[in-house]
Amino acid sequence: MKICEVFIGSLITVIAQLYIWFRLSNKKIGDLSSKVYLFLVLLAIVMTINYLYINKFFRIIIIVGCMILFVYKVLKRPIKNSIIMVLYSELLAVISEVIFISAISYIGNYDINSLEKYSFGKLLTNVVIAVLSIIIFNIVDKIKFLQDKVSIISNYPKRKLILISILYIFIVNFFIMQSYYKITLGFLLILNAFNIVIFTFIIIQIMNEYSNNVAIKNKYDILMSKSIDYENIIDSQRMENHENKNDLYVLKTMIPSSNKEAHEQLDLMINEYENREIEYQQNKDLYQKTLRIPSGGLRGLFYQKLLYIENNNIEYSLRVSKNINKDSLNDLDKYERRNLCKIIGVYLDNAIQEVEKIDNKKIRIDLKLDKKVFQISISNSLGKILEIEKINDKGYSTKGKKHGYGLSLVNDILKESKKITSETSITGSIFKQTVKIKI
Amino acid sequence: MLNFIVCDDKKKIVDDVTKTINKVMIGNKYAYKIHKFYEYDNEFMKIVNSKMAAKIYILDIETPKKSGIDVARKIRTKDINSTIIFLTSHQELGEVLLQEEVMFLSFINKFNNSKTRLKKAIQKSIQFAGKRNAIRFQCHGAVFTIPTSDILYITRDSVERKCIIKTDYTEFKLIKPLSEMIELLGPDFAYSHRACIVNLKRIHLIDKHHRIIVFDNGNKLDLVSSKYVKEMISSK
Repeated sequence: MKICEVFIGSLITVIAQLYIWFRLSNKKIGDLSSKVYLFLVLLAIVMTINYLYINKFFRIIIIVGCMILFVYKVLKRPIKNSIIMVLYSELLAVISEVIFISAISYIGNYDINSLEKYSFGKLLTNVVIAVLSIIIFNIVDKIKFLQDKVSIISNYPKRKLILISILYIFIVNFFIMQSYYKITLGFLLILNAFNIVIFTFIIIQIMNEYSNNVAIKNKYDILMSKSIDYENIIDSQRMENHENKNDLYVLKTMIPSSNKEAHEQLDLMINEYENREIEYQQNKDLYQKTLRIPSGGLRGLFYQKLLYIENNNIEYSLRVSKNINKDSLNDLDKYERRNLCKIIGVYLDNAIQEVEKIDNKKIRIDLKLDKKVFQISISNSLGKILEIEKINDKGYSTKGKKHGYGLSLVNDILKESKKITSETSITGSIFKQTVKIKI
Repeated sequence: MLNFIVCDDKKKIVDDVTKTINKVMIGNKYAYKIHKFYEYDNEFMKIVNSKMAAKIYILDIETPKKSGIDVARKIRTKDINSTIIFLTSHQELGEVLLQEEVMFLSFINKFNNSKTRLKKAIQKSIQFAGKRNAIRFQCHGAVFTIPTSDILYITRDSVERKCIIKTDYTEFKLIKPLSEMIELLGPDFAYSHRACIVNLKRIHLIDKHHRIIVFDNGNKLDLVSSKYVKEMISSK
């Protein structure tokens, strides 16, 4: 009799959970195939066995695991969605249980354990909790603030989400055990120590996020100052190299031909300068292309990045309109110029990192000056899933761990700047960032 | 009526293009008008800004005063459905990504079999004329322009609370309702399920028994409701 009661109670619980999962998957209960009904009954059987025969310390873990497997394999949802859906429905069940028990205990002045001693008391409890879960789900579904929180969780990388879910299930299990079952002091101390470790881990992660953010800001500050130095180095080295070589030729003519050692030494030095010239020659095209880009850090930045692009077999094109020269941004103050370089640095890095992972490696850069507005556009081919509204959020990235801070840095700069604006557009498979500077 | 807008700084090129257009249009039923320009001047821009139907642009890639590519970009900010054909004097090897960004139909080299190629391009552009070839909308400060032919389906994910536009090359996830998306799309799109809109032109077959749609690129979709199957088949 008890087995029947528990089985029916489990079936009702599973049906309620199934309703919530189906609503989250945009499917109707009527869309169920016979295979799903079969596995539904199987899940209810597993829950019954779990309740009656399995050690109380492992019940929640086992049933959550079985539910995730059911949603993943039978309902054919992606693993990430399966985890979120099951944890969500279980959380609703826990909240419903708390509400029911509070109502029974404080308002009705009953003890929940006494209630379950009555015939069908357990079944009644399950029915009430199932109905409450569905009601709470429908209320939460209407509240946008809470909807947004669910979608934020779904953006987490898969591995992180699985790890957090496992920790979450263990914590919930231990807290519930403490509430429902008598635990020895020693075991309680162990449980609480475990919980302290988890909370410490969470705090460290928060601090880690903060330091990543600071690191990216420093990176682009250094990049800016290096870019200015680099511009000066490119120009002066070319000139120096040529002059030094000429000086050596002159010196060679002044030394008697009988001094073979001196001539050999000079030949070696001239050879070295000629090798450097070959290297400059190879980069001559790039040097010529970037010659008209405004100086003050921007030219050096483009030169560096384009050199990297060329060396990594990324197809690119650079267009600098005819009315632009190296003095075009002279009216921009130092502070805004630094900000501009940081923004362009981030956009170029992102474009490069995005195309490096895909087969279609293409980047296009346009510089245009039109009626006192200087415009820089950086386009790249897209490969990944793109979530546009998350692009400027800290930590969001399609590039994996320890990325996602550059664009949030750009966002912070744009908020403060009075002269620089940025636009994002997606046309087909091309992602484009356009920076406009008022001069 | 089809409106051909031709611009080249050389009168001979404009005349040759006009002759080619006339030859192509003689053989079909559409009324048409040719607008000739020799520079991207104010008069040209007036045509660009006008609400003329079915525009087909045939543009010089570079004139003495302006770049045809910049003009094409300006055209695209106003109008995503008109056809653009570029005339050029040399191979545009460096114009990486340009086609996908500006969505032009083709580059035609003025000095290499241009008449035949131009004829083919005009014939193709007549097929696209007046149709909704791309959708444009804004979401979170970004402007999206997606050619409708690239879209396989648009679905709604209730877990992530997002609309997902599935194309051949990328999935776009944005916070927009499906009802807003269907308004942007033309008659080539229909609901397959209350949470899914499909591109009927891209459907290869509909398996009514298993309720699966197979697209022409091999992708499959199981968001099919019996309520919408009949409508899809009749629309297709």
